[in-house]
Amino acid sequence: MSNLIALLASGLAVGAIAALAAVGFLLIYKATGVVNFAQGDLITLGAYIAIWLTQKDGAFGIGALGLVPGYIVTILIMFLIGVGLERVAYAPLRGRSIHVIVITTLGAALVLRAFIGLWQGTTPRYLDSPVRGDVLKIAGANISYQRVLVIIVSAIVVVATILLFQFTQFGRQLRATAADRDTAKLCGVPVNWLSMLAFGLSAALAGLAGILLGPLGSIDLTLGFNFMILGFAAAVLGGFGSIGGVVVGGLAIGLVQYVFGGYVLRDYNAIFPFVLMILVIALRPQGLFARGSALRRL
Amino acid sequence: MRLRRSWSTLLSVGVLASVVAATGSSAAGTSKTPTVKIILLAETTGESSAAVPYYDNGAKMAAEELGSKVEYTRIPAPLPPAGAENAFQQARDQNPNAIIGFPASSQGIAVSDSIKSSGIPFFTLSSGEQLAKNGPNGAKNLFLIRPIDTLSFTAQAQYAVDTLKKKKIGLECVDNATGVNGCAAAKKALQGKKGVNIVAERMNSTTATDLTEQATAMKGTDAILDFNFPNPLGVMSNQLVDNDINVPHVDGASAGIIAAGGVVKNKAATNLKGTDDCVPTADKRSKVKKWVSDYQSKYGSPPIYSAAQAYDMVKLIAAAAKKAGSVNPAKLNTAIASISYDGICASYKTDDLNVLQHTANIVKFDSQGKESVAKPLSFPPGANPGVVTETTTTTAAPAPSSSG
Repeated sequence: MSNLIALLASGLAVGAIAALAAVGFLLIYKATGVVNFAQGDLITLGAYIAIWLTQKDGAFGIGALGLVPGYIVTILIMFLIGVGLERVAYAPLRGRSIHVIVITTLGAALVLRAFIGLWQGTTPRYLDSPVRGDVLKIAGANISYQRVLVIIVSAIVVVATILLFQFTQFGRQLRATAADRDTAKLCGVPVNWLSMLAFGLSAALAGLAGILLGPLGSIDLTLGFNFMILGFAAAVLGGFGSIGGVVVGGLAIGLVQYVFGGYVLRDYNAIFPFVLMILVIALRPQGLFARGSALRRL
Repeated sequence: MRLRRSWSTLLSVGVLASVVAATGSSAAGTSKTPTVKIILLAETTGESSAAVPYYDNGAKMAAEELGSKVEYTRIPAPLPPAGAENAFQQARDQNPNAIIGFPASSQGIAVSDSIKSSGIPFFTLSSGEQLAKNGPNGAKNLFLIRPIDTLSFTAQAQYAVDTLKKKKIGLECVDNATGVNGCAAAKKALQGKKGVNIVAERMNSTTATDLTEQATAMKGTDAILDFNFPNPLGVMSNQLVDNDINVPHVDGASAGIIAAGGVVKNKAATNLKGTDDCVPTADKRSKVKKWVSDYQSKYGSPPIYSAAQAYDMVKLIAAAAKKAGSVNPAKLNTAIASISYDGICASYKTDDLNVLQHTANIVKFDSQGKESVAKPLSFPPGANPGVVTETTTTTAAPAPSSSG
């Protein structure tokens, strides 16, 4: 029983990070129709910026910020980086083939990774956390508080994002743009601003994912890439439609990898999220929670 | 008249050319040590996610100290075999006298035929037992700087059982050659050990970020042998502590890397042991202390074993060229095979398998991750556990002896 609880906690925590990555994908997809493959490296960048701000001499040698202020500043910086990314990797290509833009986001990912390598090196690093080393004991299972924190913070952020989508002007405009960009533009929706905001928010979410993920292990240049792949699978499972759908997709991915994979073919559990994705696409091409084909949307 | 002038001009040019040639050859003839052209095949920071600066830093530092005796160049060598082969051919085009390179055994194995046919002395930075002279990918001109990796893996297992007196062993293996060969070497070393049992065995991917199942499976062990990459090792170390499994956790070179990065602290650090070919920062010899200080002031961070080894190899090649009195590859190969060189990381002496270094250390860490030597190891020259392939069997796995 204790083993099952420990695996459930792991599955939920990994699923929560995958869901954050998937929501980041979805935001940009809705605003621009583009799948941003730099999302994974933005997660990595967020973790490294948090290290830079909170450790040793801190940024520019001005001294380390406290952990929570450092995290907040990281998320703000990531928002600005997202806006910058939109300006250099999306805005100049608006109107070009979607394939060109997707390849450009891949190029941006490689540039980001090389930049981080030059800036911070390649030695694995550690991001501290206010709950480092603390463990919650439930029915004989030891669950690190960091995992609990990941689940709680992700849940709050997802709910906030759903509220943002449903009950704000930004959300309504975003949904209108997703439905028909040209008509939305004719109706006065500032689609260019929307795409900048979407890139900014998506990068901020990636930064948050990096901050939550970092203290669970160690940080190197490949940290975010794996979660981008999981996030992409989550978004496909959810049908690239509703936030709720991609969140369920993310959780399904975490649970199938760690709970199912904890008992069956446990040495190869990394394949299960993708087996699930292939099965869902085969049986329900539009994804679990969307109308129309997820594949066609991509 | 005109013809005579042309002849005299030609004659003058000929005489002048002869004088210049004679002066040049005389200058070359009077030079005691010919300039050795050395190429490093390794990536450095920024060139890939796996690249580290240590090899280039160490080799460059030695080349600068040697001045005109050495001409040093670096060519990035990507991990995929095709990229490694391409880098090797680029190097060969530059007619080097010696090449140092390939941090991954897979690179050396993939390019071994080209290395062999080139005849150029090649110092590999990795130590897969296939690359030993009598192995399937070995060659007369292929030298292993480091002890054969399966010797180190065997030493890890023997340390847990013979030194720490542990009986219930857990095995954790990353799902690539490091993990597969490491666990195979450990099983071979533990075979026949009275009362010793492998009570849990698990595998993980190089990109694993959650090892809850693997960590909880280690409950009931009294030592864990881990053959892993740095990132999953960091995850495992911390998750073992989260699950109240505080037993010796013995890994290889990844342990020092994660400890230096602050990934493990407190119990996760003190439980962890590793193996390093040398620990320059913990070495008390005055020449090593000075070297560490020079390295740190030059590059801003302390050196690890790989920087020391790259530094040593450049110096060793220069010494071999001096001994041979030539930079001809064949003569250099002969000189390297018989030279003894006392370097920063070790005292090097080529054995029958073309392995240069025969020492290593089991290392431990304090609660802040600071590394120190737990047990020095020495390996008998010519020893090869023969874990990976039957063609490489020479002697049985040797018991590492304490040298200090």
